[in-house]
Parts: sequence; structure tokens; C-alpha cells
Amino acid sequence: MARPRLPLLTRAPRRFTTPSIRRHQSSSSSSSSTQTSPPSKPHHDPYALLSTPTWSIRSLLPPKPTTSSTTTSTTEAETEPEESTITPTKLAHLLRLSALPQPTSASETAEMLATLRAQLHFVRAIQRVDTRGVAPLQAIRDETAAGLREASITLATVRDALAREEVVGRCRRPRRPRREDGGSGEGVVGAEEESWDVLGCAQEKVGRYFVVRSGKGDGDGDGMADGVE
Amino acid sequence: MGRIPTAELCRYLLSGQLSRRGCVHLRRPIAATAAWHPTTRPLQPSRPSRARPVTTRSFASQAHNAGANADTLDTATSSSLTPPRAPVPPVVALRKQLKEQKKKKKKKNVDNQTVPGWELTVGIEIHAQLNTARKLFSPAAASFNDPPNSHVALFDAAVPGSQPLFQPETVIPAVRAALALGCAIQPVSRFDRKHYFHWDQPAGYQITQYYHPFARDGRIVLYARDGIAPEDGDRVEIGIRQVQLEQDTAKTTAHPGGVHWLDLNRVGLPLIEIITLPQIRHPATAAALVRKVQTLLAAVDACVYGMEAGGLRADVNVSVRRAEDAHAPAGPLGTRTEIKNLSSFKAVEDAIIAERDRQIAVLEAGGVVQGETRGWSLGSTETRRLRAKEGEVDYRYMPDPDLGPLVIGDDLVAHLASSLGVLPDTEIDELVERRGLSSKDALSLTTLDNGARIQYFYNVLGALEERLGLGGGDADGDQRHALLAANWCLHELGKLTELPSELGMTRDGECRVPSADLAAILSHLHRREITARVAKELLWCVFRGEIATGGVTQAIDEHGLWFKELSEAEYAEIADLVAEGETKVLGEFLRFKQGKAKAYPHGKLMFLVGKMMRAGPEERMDPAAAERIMRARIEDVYLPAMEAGV
Repeated sequence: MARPRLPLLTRAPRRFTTPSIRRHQSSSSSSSSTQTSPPSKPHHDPYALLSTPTWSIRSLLPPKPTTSSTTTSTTEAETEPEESTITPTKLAHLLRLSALPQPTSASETAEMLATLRAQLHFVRAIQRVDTRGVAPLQAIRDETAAGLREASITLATVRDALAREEVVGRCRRPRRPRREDGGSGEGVVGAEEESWDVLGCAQEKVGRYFVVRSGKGDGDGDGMADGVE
Repeated sequence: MGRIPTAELCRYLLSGQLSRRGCVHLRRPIAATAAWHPTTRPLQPSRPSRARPVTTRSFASQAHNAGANADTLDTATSSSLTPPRAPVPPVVALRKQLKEQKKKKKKKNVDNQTVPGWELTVGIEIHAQLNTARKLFSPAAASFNDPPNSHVALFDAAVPGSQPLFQPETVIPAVRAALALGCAIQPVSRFDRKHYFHWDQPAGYQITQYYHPFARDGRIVLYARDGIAPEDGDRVEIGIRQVQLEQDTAKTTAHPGGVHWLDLNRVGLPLIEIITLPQIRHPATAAALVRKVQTLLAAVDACVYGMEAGGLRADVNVSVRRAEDAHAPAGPLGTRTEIKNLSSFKAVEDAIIAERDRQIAVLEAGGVVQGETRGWSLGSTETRRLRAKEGEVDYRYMPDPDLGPLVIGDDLVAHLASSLGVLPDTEIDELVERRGLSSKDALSLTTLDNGARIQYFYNVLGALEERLGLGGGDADGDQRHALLAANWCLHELGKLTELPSELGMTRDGECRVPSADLAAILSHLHRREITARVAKELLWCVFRGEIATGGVTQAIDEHGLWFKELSEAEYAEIADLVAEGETKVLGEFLRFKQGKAKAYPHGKLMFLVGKMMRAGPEERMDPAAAERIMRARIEDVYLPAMEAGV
């Protein structure tokens, strides 16, 4: 997406606000957009408009079981789909994957599960937005045609590297010149980037090596994977 | 003594017959009885008759006779036998048993390519280190053997706040590799994070291209000369699903006590991962594919360190299914297991064979193959489990939000495609078809000395053609000179020294034996102006520097080494001299001529030729000519003389 849109504020409030406020919504512009109200509409008092919140992020959170003030929330009491119930086993698995410490007591487990459930409720509410025809945003980059052109790697970008190569042999194969001992062959490459104290923050070191201690005979512990994937 | 078989017990209890099988000492009395003779009536011992196995093989002839005796005994008494005789396994000698066991253990891979009734499916993932000056996402230098932790940028050590910075020069070898593998380069590709925790990955995730790789849908063609399994025939084509860019991890050296030393120089080096389609059916083909990929990548300068140096690593996915299920090509493949830590081509083949046999054993026993990761170490007979089921490790792939898409311009791809140079397959095809070399020789020439030997060969061939006056462009003529040059570049040069480095072969194809000098020697040899022996001596002298560059012809002149061959008449004279008194040998030829002997007595001919060489002036004689003349003399002169005389 080139510009972030805020569809929630135009749709969700319809479910959570009283009819009087809804009238305001339909006639006035959304609070954060830069559109000015059309001159034909009647004049509204900005202070009156802005004094009452029309939407709260709490609408995206699961309803608190004890409260009764938010009558609208009860209409929203959707049950969790069965397959996404988080069991303590699943919680333990997720914590292992993230290398986070496991809960030490039952109350801690319950607290974590409650938090996780609230977070998933929020995520599901976000997922209910209709994004048909919208490509997912993967990074905030300039993805206009001009931006893509600027970011693309063309012959001009790597001209210097190609110029340094030699063509070898009857088969005319290109070769990058290298030092005999396998170094970079281009003098001091990246000297500034490398000139910091690499071992300075090492907990334990031997000579110029970092030292890591593994568990006794434990090459791949819980959730850890082996070498190069 | 082991458990007594029921049949024998039955026989003893019910009809009083005792089996003497295996009781060696009791056999002798039968044959040692003085009055025994095969034609006399068989002995009727007072003891109950013996039941003997009909097929005794291994004991001495006495026992054999006794066995024969026993047969007649058996037939005499077996008619009265009521309990049926149980099948008794033949007794095999211990030495033979041990030999068979050893043979089974040392079963060569050549016999091991297929298992009847089962189909093997193999897919390979190859990780190759790209030949670049800098790393993939940081400007630190890419090094191979530099002091540890000397080329580490902030991002490589995952210092908080550091950001990746894509280095455009890594695209050059990556695209070249993909083009050599026939892939289609995707104009836009993206980077993803693969999360897992390990001490050799400071960031906790590896940046790879999981969803959108930069190259797809290639293929690699393997020929019989690349060493594929004979069951695959002449040629096999394996598809390549994708080629993707990714980061390397740190180098770990293990020390006793669970201590590991880390060198972060290797973190963030650019790798390409080549994923093939699961179309490989035989272990030898899998090893051949890895070897060929290494050769291809080295030829296009994408990956210059091979498997032995650790620059190329292969992971193998193996599954089996029954041959009946295999006939439906779209049918489901069996559960696959992944084998990691394969460090050589032979290990690839051995590990696949071991894993296939293990999976077949599991399935035949009625079990289910688990989808897991297994390891292999050199010298093992079976893979060992490294990690449990696939689902237990969840990499949580997600697009990397710190990096923009990788956009590769069409002009760059076109330029790289046009400047790849001649690929190894084309070069070898040209050598074989145009110059008449054998596949094996062509392969050896192109791979020796890291591609320097073939340049030397081209230099020698060029100089040789110039000296012989053969036009370089027209290659339809006789290529004997090319074969001569190839033989000398391969074999004679190799004989000069034990260590290939002592030859001093440079990348441009020059060594301690200048190509011009070798071409001079070969031109004289080709024109038969010197003998092969003299030529080898000259080569040795040039190698040792005793003959100055360009002074070959002069040296031949100085030392009088020209081949002044004897005339036909002189050869004939020597042949007559040698054949005198050799009536016995000539008799053999006569017998062949008269049809009494089946084959031409070639050995006798060479004996006579050898006598000729010793009798005459050896440096003026050519063995091939001497043989021809001797053969002709025998046919035309000696045999008719013998026939007339007889």
C-alpha cells in the first residue's frame, strides 16, 4: 500500500456507538483525515464533537468478564474458534521457539494465557478487515515505478566490480582477481566497518575467538536447530 | 552342541536311526575298514543305520566316498522309513562362510544402485559460498582463512540497532550461477527471515529467500561421462526448482568439555541454495549431480571453493516407495528424511544407499518411516537421528521488514549471460567430437590443475599445428596430432614429477616445459623424425632445463638423435638372421596357416621382433616397422620355404 488507510474508523464505530453519535459520524469527517467538512453541511461545534470519544481501542480487546457497562460488548462476545484455543502445551512450545523462559507457576501460566488470548482477539479483529485486492505491505519502501528503478541493480551499479574482472583462457571465462591466500584481493576492504572492538562485549573469549559452552552432550536442545540450514 | 532338530529326534525315537552329521571323527572308521571296496556289498553295521545328508560337500574325499556309501545305505533303509525326512541344510565350510560374509560387507556401490521392487527418490539441496569481495548485507570483507573475528561488521555481530545494507556486487556471481543452471531470473525477489536459535547465528534468524527466490525453474543435464549410474543410461536431466540467496553462519570449532570457539568472519557471507526437483533415482547419479554442480559453479566463477574446502555443502532428501506405486507418476512419494553433514561426494552416495536400505527395512517390517533429520559420518553403515519430526522446529518464516525487494535489471542479466564464456560441457563436447579425444581424457584434461592443463594443451596444439602446417580452422582432417598432444599433456607430463605443483603450471597455460618446446618435440615425433624413446628423453631434458628454450631442434642435431631408419632390405636381412634356426617357432605359424591352430601366434611374433631389435642397431629400428616386415617375411618367405622343404 502506498498510503496507510484507516478503514476502521469509518466502519467499526457503527457497531459500538449509540444512534445519536452515529448521526454525527455520517455527517462529519473522520477525526484524523485532512478532509474539511463540505460547506453545505451545518456548522458543528468542534469542542462538542471532540469531547466525547467515538471509538476506543478497547473495542478490539476481548470483553472483560465482570464488567457490565459496555453493553455493546456482549453483542460482540464471539466465541474463540475451537482450533485456536491455546493450551498450556502450545504455550510451552511457543515459548521454546522464542527462547523465552517457561512459566514457573500455575498463576503465571494463567496470566500468560489470558494475555495471549487477548492479543489473539485483537489480531482477529484486525484480520477481519477486507483486504481483497490489496498486496501486503512487506517493508516501508518507495514502490512507485521511479522508486523501483532507483533501487534496481543494473549494469551501471556494478560497473566497477565488473571492470576489475579478467577474462581467462580460450573459453573466455570471467574471473574475479583474488589474493593467493584467499583474501579479498582488493586491498583493505571495508576497513572502517570492521574497525571496532568485536570481542569487547564477549562474556568469555580465548585469544581471538568467542567461547560458547553447550550443555553436557547437548548439541541440539529444545527448539534449537543444527548448523547451516 | 546345539538344539537337536525335531525330525532327527523323531527318527531316533521312532525308528532308532542316529544322525552322524557333523561328527567328523566317526566318518573315518567307515572308509578305513580294510576290506571295504565300493563294489562289495555295503556294510550292514550292527548299530542302527545312519541317516546322512545327501549333499555333503566339504570334507575330504574319504568322507565323500563314505557319503556315497551312505547314499546306498540310505536308499536301502529309507524305504522302511516312516517319518518323512526333514530338509537338512547343506553343511558349508567355515572358510567359505567367512568369505561370503566378507564379500557381502564389501559389496561395491556399482551393484547397489537399485533394489528390486522399490523405487528410490532423491532430492538435493546444495549450499555454495559465493565468490564476492564483501558479505551479503554488510560491507565487511569476505575472507576464507584470515585471522578469526577480523572481518566482522556491527550487523554481523547483531549489535542492537544495526541494520542490513545489501551489497550489490553479490548479484554478479549469484546470477551467473543461476544462468549456468539454466534458471529464469526473477526481476523482483524478496528476503525473508528464518528464525531459529543457535550460537553460530548471532541475530537469531537467517535472512533467506523463502517465498520469492531470485531464480526458478532451471535444469542440469548429466551424461554418462559425469559418472551417473548405468541404470540411468546415456543422459539424465534433473530439474532445479529454485536458486535463492541466503546468509552463512559462523564457524564453530568444538573443544572438549562442551566448549566451542566461534569465528564470526563467516557470518553473513553470501550463499546460494540450489534446490533440485526430486527426480533422482539412483545414488551414483546424486553424487554425480553434486560433482557437476561444483564444476559448473567453479567454471562460471560463482563458487571457487569445493566440497573438500567446505565451500560447498549438500543436504539430501531420501524417500522410497514400492515399484508398483511408482508407475503412476503423479502418485504420492514416500515420507522423506533429510540427511545433513555430508562432506564429500562418496559420502553422498554411501549415505543415500544406507538410508534407502534402512527405510526399506523399516517398511518391509511393517513400520512407518518417520520424517526426520539424520546425520552421516564417514565410515558409518547407517545414518543416525539428529532431530525429531519436521513439525517440531517451526522457523516462522516472515518477510524481512528491514530490506526492500531485490530488483535485478534486465541489462545486467543480458550482459552476464553473454559473457559467461564457454561452459564445460560445450568444451568437452568439442574436444571429443572435433578432436577425437575420449570422454575420460577430455574430462581429465579440463579438470587437472584447476583448468590450467587444458590451456597448456591448447597452446601446445596451436604451436604444433603451426609447425606441421595444418590449418587451425579446418579440423576435418586427421586428428592424430591432437591425440598425440593430448596423450603427452596428460600422461607424459604427469610422469615428470610426483607433485603437480612442481610442474609450475600457470593459469595461462605455461609451465616448466614451455609449450613451444613440447610442440617442437611432438612435431618431430609426428613426422617420425625421432623415435618415441628419444622424444621422452628430450622432454626430460627440457623439464630439467638442460635444453634452452627453443633449442630442441638444435639439441637433436648436436647429439645426432635423428631417426635414420633402416631400409626395408636391411630389416629383411636382420629378420633372416633372427629366423635362422627358429624352426620350432616357425612351426607354430605353419600350424596356424594350415588351420591346425585357432589363433595367430602373436606372442611368438613379438618374440621374434624382440630378437630383431636386440640383434640390429636399436636406435635405428622402429618396432612397428620391424613387426610388419617380420610378419611379411614369415608369410612370404619362411613358411613357403618350410612347406617346400617338408
